[in-house]
Amino acid sequence: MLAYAIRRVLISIPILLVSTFIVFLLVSLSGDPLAGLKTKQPKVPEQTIKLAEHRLRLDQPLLERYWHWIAGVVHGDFGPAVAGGGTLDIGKEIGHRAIVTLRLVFFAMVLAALIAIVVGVISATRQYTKLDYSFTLTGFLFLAMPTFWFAILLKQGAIWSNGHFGTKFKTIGESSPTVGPGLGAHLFDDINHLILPTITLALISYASWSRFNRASMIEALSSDYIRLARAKGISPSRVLIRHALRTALIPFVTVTALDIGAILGGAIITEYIYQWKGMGDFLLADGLSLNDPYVVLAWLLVSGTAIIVFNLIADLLYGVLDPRIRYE
Amino acid sequence: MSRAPRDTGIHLIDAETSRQGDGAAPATAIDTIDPREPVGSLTARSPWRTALRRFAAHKMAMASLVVLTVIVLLAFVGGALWHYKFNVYGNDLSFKPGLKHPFGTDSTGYDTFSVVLRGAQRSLEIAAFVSISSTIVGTIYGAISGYAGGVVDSIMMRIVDLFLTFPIIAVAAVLTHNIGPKANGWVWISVVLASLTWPYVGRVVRGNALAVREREYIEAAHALGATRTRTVLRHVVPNVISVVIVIFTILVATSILAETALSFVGFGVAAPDTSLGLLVNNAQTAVATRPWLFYFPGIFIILIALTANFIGDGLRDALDPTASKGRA
Repeated sequence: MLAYAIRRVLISIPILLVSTFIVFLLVSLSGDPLAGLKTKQPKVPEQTIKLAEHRLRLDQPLLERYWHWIAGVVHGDFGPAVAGGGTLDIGKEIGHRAIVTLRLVFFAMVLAALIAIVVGVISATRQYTKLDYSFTLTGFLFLAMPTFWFAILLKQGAIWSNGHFGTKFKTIGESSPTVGPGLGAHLFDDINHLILPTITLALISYASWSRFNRASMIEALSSDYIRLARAKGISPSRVLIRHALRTALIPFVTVTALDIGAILGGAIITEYIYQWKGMGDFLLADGLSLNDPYVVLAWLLVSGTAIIVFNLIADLLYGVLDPRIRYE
Repeated sequence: MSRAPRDTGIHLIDAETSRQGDGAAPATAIDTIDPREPVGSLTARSPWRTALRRFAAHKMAMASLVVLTVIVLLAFVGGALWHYKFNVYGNDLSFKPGLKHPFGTDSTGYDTFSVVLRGAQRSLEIAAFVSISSTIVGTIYGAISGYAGGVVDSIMMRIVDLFLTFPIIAVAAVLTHNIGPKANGWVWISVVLASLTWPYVGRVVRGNALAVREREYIEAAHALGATRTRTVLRHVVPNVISVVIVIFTILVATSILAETALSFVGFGVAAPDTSLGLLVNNAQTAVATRPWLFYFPGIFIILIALTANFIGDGLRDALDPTASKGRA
């Protein structure tokens, strides 16, 4: 299995490299990062533009720029950023942003997985009852829910509740700029900021998982070994949890791992609406809006690696959890 | 070795079709029963008829089909018949929804109903373009890859892996941000989204094609001297078609959510053109004062995605060859 994992990682590296190359070309060719500076009124001196071009390596040929970037990344230099005029270190910034996003994604995914398991199990055991139908309907509703719409609705609800009931939901940012002294105050502040985005992301994500879990639970519950376990007189709850759920969780865990990998690149929309300075915001505001290829590449490296790693985790978990699968 | 790889990213496809995608040969009924041939004294029912009957028995799917048809008709025909035009403003400023303006008006006097219908038309056009083109490309690609096997399959699947490291919203934003306004607006956005979604289709179809490849009728086609092109188009593709149909409906939902999200963050459809996502974005600031501007475009997005998913669900049940025939 170790050999398999190593081989998978080795295959992934060229894929990621090609991916960065394509994205580098796309961003570099699609727009001029200095367009804003060049059209500024009153006119910026020629010298300033020349300096900025040099700083952003725009005076080098395209392929050379990419090569420079690769060589830099190996040494931990992610290239110059358009934003901040030379003061922004992309490597440092993306590390900081990744932690912000991780905080959001971690809690949201834990919550989503819990809801999905509970809903899936209840739906499967009470198949074709009113409860199952209403869970199914809710699930489909959240599958069809545009994240941005739901997030704004929730945010507006929180603001309304703050005004009418005196609740103190934080609706903007990942932390307050000024917090009272002490670790407790900081922790409380962070948690308060987490509430709404976590709920948004969890509800948007749980739906497909719960449908999936329901399907695999139904399949597990109708299998022979469950009938045997029941026939042996094992208590129903034990059959449900130790026998059926355990089997049903195998595909569930792998699907979850894949989705978490995909979402680590930043819950772009959720961050956008709650104005979190996370990975998604970094990509949109500092990368795409400014045509900054290096910010986009740094982001792609982190999110692409996350996708590849979680893909691998999903495959390996499958092998660990399901003894019938062997990796050569 | 990991067989039939699961797909990442798009939750919907992942959760809903992977059971079929995992090697079970789809639509076995097609090749075992010849509808023209009476079996003994019984007349065999064509598998497509059976599917149609089962689909008709699926209440939510049938209701969804009606609702979606109504929405499509409203968007493409209703807007032209309605006595307020989306691009002509009147004197009714910020009217609440009422008899005169069922969805109210905005602060400039535009009738929200006609504006939403116009947005729905654009969003539906994009969704249709994306789902049709990426289904066709993905199906043919997946069928060739699965049928060819070996080195060709490996290379083709690595290309898919490459595409899957591109996060849809991010890469679409790169491509639409600068090129979009120069290229033909919504068509370009559709092309971009389609070029990012076909690998998901390709992956699922390939998994099914792998199973189909081993079947006797493929061998028979070979023995009869069928060319490879003919084998793929006439034998492999028709036998994975039930999976493809389901993916197609789910793609409609996925692409409408992707387009609206993209337009919402300002990288998709841009003014003077409009889409449901752009309408929600425009209404963001008005959500406290004129909430109807915010509610209706969102509800339309949900309705379209919800009905598409339910239709997909109904189709999957109807086309699933392993399902009991008793439901019809």
